[in-house]
Amino acid sequence: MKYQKGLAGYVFLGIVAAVAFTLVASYVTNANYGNRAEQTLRATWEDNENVLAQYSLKIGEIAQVPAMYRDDIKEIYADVLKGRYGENGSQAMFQFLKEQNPQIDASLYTNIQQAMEAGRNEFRVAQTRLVDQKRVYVTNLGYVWKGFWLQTAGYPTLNVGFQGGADDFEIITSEYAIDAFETGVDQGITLRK
Amino acid sequence: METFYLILLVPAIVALIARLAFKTTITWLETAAQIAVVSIILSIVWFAGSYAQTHDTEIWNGEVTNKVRHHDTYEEAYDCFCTTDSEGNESCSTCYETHYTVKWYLESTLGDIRIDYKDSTWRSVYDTPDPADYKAAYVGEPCSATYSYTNYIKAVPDSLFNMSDARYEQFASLIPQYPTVYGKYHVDHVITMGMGSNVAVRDWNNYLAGKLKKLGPASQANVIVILVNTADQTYRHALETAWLGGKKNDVIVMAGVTNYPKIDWVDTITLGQNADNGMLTVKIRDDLTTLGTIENGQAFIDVVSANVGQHFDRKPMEDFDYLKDDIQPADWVVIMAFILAFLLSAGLTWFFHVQDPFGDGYSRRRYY
Repeated sequence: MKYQKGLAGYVFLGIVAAVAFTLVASYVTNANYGNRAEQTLRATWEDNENVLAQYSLKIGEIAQVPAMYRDDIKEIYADVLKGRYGENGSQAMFQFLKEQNPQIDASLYTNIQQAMEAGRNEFRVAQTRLVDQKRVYVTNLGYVWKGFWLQTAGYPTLNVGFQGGADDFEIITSEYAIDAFETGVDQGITLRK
Repeated sequence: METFYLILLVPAIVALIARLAFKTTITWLETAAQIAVVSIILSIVWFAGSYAQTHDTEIWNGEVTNKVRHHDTYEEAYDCFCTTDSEGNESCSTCYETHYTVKWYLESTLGDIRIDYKDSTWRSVYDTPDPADYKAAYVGEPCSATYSYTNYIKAVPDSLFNMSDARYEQFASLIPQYPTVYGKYHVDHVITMGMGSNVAVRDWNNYLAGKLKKLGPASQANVIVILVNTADQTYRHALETAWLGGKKNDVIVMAGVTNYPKIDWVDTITLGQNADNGMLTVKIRDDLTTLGTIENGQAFIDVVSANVGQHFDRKPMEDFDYLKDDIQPADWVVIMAFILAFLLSAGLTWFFHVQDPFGDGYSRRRYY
């Protein structure tokens, strides 16, 4: 009987130790995850800018535009991606490039067009990746167990749109798309009426 | 992991209830053993399920560098000259039997490819003629093999890069099965869908395989060409959905051809919605559109392989590491784990109730 009582103590001690271990492990694991997720988000955000910069640089090189105009190219390219120039966005870019280098011929024109399209696709995927990473992080913040420990550890420290809060990682989208989502009306369809 | 912790509560609760209900037959040591055994088995099932979710395969390409027919022998030990003494104890000597083996394999840039193996106690096995696959193989022949890798995209249906939820029923008859290795080391890299007999698929395949034996190792690429009879470019999304965006090293080039041999459209799929391969996609499309037709298969494949060699950038799975934190176990794993937890716990409760494995004097049989 005495032996059984001693064993009962050990079993309860084991259960208490297991529970304590689970709690500490949950805190550490989730605090580390929160840090990793936020650093990954920051890195991807910077990488998005990098993708934009790389293709702006490439376009400038193909068009043989002097280096001093490369920042302008980046700015115009970002505006093209935002749809600020409407459907003729690439024309605005070509016009600028022509002003800097009037020698642009047909083959260069094709190469520039390819670089612009490739850059747009790369940028779209880079933005998708950013949105996906944010989705994973916000989903985890909302989980009962994981979310509790993340918030206990002080996360989120970044504005990621959790529970409808501010979002510092909004993607670059076209003004046309913003308009369509805000009004619920696709202007393209309205125009045909 | 939260679900896993919940499942682990089952053996703990059942074991504690069993201990309270059968105080006289189940000891605390047996309670602890019950919790430990069920937890270990559940962990194995759970993590095997997780592994199955992320496990995927990709195809590597290379070439045969040598043909080998290897003769060998080994000695196998067995009991012989056995005797039984007056007390009934049997004792044996150890004898050895010679085995003669023949192994046919191909050395390749992908490693050894096993063709056949014979093992006999007769030396005459050395006279076995070469198998047909070995005879047909030649040095410099293209070869392919399947390798495993971890695919986080496959394991997370909610990811924006996993399009498994989308449905494109209109293309059901035009979506091929993903190519697999057949005949030990062959893969069909060119697939036609609804094209009739216009395309000499075998010739296209041989030519592309020939290109891939160098291009594969150099670019870490597996090129698949699909010629499909549809003018609808959304076919790309249907295939991307069916093949989950392709494997890690895939370059899937699609050409829509409704009026042979004129190319209607061209598109390319690489992992992660063509991430890091924007230029490859645009170049292949423009160059094949300029080519205009699929009449000359070699010209088509030359364009594709030249661009893959120049522009393909294999996307590492590390770029999708963040999805590890979003992997949820499949429903069948959760259900199976719960059922297993209950059955094992109930079974062990009964076992400890009627048996006394630790010899501490507590069992239903002994007690009653």
